[in-house]
Amino acid sequence: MSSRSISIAGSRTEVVLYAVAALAGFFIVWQLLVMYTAVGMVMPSPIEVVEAMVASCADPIGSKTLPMHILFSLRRVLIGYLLAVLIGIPVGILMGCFQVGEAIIKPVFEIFRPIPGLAWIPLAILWFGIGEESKYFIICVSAAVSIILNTYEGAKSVDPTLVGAARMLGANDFQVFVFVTIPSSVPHIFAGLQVGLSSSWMAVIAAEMIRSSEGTGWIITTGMDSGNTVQILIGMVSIGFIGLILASLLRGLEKKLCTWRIQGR
Amino acid sequence: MSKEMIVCKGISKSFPGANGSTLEVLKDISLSINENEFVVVLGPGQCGKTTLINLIAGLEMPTSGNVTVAGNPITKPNPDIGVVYQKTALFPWLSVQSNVGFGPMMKGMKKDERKKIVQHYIDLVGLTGFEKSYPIKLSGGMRQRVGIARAYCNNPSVLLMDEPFGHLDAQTRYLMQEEVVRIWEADKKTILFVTNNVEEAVYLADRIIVLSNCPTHIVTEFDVTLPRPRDYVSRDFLSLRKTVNDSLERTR
Amino acid sequence: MKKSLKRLISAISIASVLLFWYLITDGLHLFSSYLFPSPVAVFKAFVNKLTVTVPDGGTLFTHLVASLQVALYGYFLGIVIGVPLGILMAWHRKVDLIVKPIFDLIRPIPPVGWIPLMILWVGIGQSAKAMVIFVSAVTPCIVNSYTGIKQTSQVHLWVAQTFGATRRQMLFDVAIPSALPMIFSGLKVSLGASWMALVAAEMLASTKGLGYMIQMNRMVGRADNIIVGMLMIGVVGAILSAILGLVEDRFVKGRHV
Repeated sequence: MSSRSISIAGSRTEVVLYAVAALAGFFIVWQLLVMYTAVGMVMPSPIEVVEAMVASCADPIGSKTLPMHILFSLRRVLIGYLLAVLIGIPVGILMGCFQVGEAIIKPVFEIFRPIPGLAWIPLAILWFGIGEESKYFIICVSAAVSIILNTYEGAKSVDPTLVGAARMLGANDFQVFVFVTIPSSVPHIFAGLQVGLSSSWMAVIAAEMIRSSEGTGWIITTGMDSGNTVQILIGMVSIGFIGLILASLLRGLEKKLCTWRIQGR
Repeated sequence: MSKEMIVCKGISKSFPGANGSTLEVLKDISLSINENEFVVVLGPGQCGKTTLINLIAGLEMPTSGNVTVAGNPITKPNPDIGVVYQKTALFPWLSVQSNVGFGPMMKGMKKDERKKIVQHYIDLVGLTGFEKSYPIKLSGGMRQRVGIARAYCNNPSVLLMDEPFGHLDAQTRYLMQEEVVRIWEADKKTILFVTNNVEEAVYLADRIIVLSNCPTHIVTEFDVTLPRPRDYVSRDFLSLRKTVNDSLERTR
Repeated sequence: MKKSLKRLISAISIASVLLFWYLITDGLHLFSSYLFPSPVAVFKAFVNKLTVTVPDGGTLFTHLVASLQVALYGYFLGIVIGVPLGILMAWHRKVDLIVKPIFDLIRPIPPVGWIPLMILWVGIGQSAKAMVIFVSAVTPCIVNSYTGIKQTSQVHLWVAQTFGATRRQMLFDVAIPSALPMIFSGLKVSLGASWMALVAAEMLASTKGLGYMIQMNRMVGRADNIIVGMLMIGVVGAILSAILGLVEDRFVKGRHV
């Protein structure tokens, strides 16, 4: 029995048809507004943006082409994010599985938790300079919070009957931890990884906007400084696009690792 | 005379209740169960049946009294005791064969060695062909079969079953009752089976122990000598069912 | 483990972090006080910042008020537009089919990415920041209201139908109440996102506010003031979400035993 069918989902073709129509309408209205109204003064048309995007794959914006800027941003995210994963999952598990760990870490974590990752930017720049390290630091801090939090909740919410069942089958503390606690927290951990990835993508943009000499964030800010809306939109579109790809990559990985949760046939 | 497998001597259990009071769940329960005996503990809704199971399993400690299984005092969970749960408690991230093989794996048994035993018990409970399925794709009755196979696979001498068929529909429940007797006859264990269903108790048990409401104590016992396989509608079955039913406390 | 013991360990933990912080700064002078001020220095800076406007042109309080104004303005705008839009999308199939693709197209762009465009359009004043905060607040509002309504139990709707409820009644008396917990968790996510976006927007282009304050103090190398600003951002963020939690407890019934 389905519990979610308020509006019975239309057939696939209908959904696609409407989506195509809606998006086409969106771009046509945008194009027309730019061509025939005052919007044209502050916005480029979608066609201009696409043309400029294609061109920037060969002609550099600043010192680098668009793909190179994206690669720079991606490298930063990758390093900072991996750091956050390596720190966040163990800390979350320490907090969720061991009462002593919880008593020690949680209060300290609760102090840092409400400070948004981006608020670390000034301190990071002061500590690590305007180079790469400060960006890794900011990305890591931004992503770590949600990874820790979700891992912690996952480890805490292990079904006690499953732990009891494992004990009755002869599992010792360590085996319960490895074979019950960890696998049952995996879905939570993935939720944290997902949120963490999008915050670290956001963090790299912000960090690059505030201080850098390349990257997608830099494209937007220099666009702003020179009043170049085409360049701003190129930056925004690439950011959205890459963010989408990163998220779906992680979702694919989750699907692979959590086949047991898919009801299917 | 066969030897005593499960012995509870005067066990009581209380929990701290709301605002400092204590809630007494079990009161002075003494029982002894012989080797390979099938004993059903029958009790009304909210009595401490699960607590009794947890005490014998070593998951909880009695407030007073003691429990021995095969002569050993129970202080912690012991792989010699298997438990089958009402909500099956299968590991959702493990396939049927990994769930069944969980106990041997905990003992460090090699994979290929494990495979044979696992297959034996999967076949015994009638799940051949579903080895690689995940619990989420199984029906309630099939999940219970996995739970029984998992408990059996650890080769315990004692099996505790906590209302294992409580969540099943009536048809599946009858089927599983037949199955559990068939499995028990094929591979004899000492079974303590908890239920609130009189018919189920009479169908399954060598002996029925009737519990009262909270604080739970033993009301009476019935020896069931009806020949197996039993017939749910035979005269003897129905009259015993009525006798047992009349012994149950009536509460709202 | 006993609760009291746990509290004791927690207290010791916090105390030792502070002590450690003190030791590596004022105690052993492992770091220059310019880069890493001691807890004492941070506390002094906090007291100082209550009255002194140097070097960022405002006291802690004026910055705080400026931030709160913009953040709440953008946040409420996000709620007022986001929640009804999400509900509408979930309830009317046509709206869903048309709006969702456009929403999905815009959604992946992080709110921070909107800052330059907003600044170009409306300048670096309060309204640009409010717009940025609106963008970050509106997305979780839409997403959660949408999923909340979509997850309404079909059985509940059938019950309402058999009692002769109109579609309108089904929306207001069944779907929305059952989606409330989900909507509220969206409001919480929104609040966090708004607060984050505010800091980013103020760091990039502003003349007042907590984000501006920490950014200015970086330029003059006053780490003590930066930490004061960060802690303030954290504390106020936590207070705001606690208030929202209280509101939620008032409105969402029947979830706790």
